[in-house]
Amino acid sequence: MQRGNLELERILRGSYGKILSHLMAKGFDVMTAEDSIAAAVETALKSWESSGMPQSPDGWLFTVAYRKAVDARRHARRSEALDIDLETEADFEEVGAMKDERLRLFFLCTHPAIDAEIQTPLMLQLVLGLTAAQISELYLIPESQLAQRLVRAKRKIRDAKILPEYPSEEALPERVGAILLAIYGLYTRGWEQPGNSERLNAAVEAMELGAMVAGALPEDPEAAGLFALILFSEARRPARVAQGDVFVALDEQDSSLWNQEKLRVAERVLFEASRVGRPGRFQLEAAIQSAHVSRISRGFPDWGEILRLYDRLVSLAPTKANLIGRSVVVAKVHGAGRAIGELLTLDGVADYQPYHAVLCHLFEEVGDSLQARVHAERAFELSDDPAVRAYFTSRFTRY
Amino acid sequence: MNYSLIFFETEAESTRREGPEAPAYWGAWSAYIDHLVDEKALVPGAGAGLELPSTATTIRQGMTIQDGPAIDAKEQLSGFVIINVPSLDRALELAKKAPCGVVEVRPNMPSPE
Repeated sequence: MQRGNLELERILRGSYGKILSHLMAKGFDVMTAEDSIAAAVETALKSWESSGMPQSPDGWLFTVAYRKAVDARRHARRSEALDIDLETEADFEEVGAMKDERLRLFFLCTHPAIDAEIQTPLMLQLVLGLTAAQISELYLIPESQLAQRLVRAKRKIRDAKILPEYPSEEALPERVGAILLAIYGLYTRGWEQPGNSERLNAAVEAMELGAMVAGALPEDPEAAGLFALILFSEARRPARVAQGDVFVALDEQDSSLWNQEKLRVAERVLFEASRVGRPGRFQLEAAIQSAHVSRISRGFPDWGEILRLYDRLVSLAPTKANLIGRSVVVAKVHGAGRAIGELLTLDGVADYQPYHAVLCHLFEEVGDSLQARVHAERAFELSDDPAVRAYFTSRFTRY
Repeated sequence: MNYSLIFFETEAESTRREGPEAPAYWGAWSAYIDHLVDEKALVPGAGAGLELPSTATTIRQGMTIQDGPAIDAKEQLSGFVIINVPSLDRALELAKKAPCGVVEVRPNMPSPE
């Protein structure tokens, strides 16, 4: 898609998914709908230049895209094959005033019939309107390869007729879970590597998607939990990288750099979610973040409380990240020796960077500089982020 | 929209066609086909149950004739039906109820207008 007009790009970002879902609701397939939006954007670039921005830019884009889609279909088949009623279409429909149907796109992108690997990139494209070039930067894979996989997924949606429908009551929890996991995966991409500005966008996109889904599923406390979790993390981002691109561990962060507004929203969202009384992994992760943040008022975090939250979290979601996060807290409560003992019993973590990062710290704490150096070197090798690498270089050149 | 539901069976499943389990096996299949009819999904006459893979003959490149099915796999093609439903989700819903371990759901190409 042709871009280059910042104002237009801003409008598209907020409206792309809305326009697309409305075109699909009118019976157009995903590829026709996307092509029509691209054609409408091209028309807008020319037309807005000379006659100025319309009063309702997204309504304008929808209407033009809709006409292009009708033309395309008419061209492809005879007009009697149209199953849409052209006469009743009001011109320049107000997209903002229409019901927000983007949740349907989230369900579509995370449909189990679509390759799991491409679900999140597809979401970025169909909901936020990101180009394959932009998404390939987030995922650090060649644009041509990603574009090919996106087209393959969209062809399947079109040809196998996967519709942007709400799942059945019975399938709903699993399907919502798939959406939340896809957003969570995007958020961890953005979070794992704090110094990389491209990765920063992944977290921002995740925050935006998280806000949309939490808004669309107000009765789902896990959707709110995930949004709160992302907000807590994003609030602390300014404190994660010190001058010279050096990674700053949570304990050493300057809490005056934390974004108070984001923290306030996060606390409120999490509190509302907890009132539903259905805890889950995302609410627990957010609660752990909240407990860390409480050191602003108390001066130190409540490690005992954090460990209790972690115990519940690892019983629900024993992921590598959660087990290693928990071991850091075990060290605070019961000492580094016990945490090391627990970590060394874990399987399948030999190539997991945070595992070595944490072990490096813990061995440092118990004064075993030989082992600390071994793990600092592994943590260094396993990261491609300059800030993280600089941090561990400073660690192992010390010994 | 038409979809083919392509059924696959393991040897353990297809041996149930004969012997003490035969009534249960055939009962389940006819109940399933009845269900597709009741749901107004089955395209009449489009589909068949297939004899065992051991009865298959494969011909390659129009000349080499071989005994046996085309693909050597644990799960073998055992039959197919064509259904007419509005979306993949509906096709999957019906495919889930088939009394066999593996079902492939494949959209049929649209017939030329």
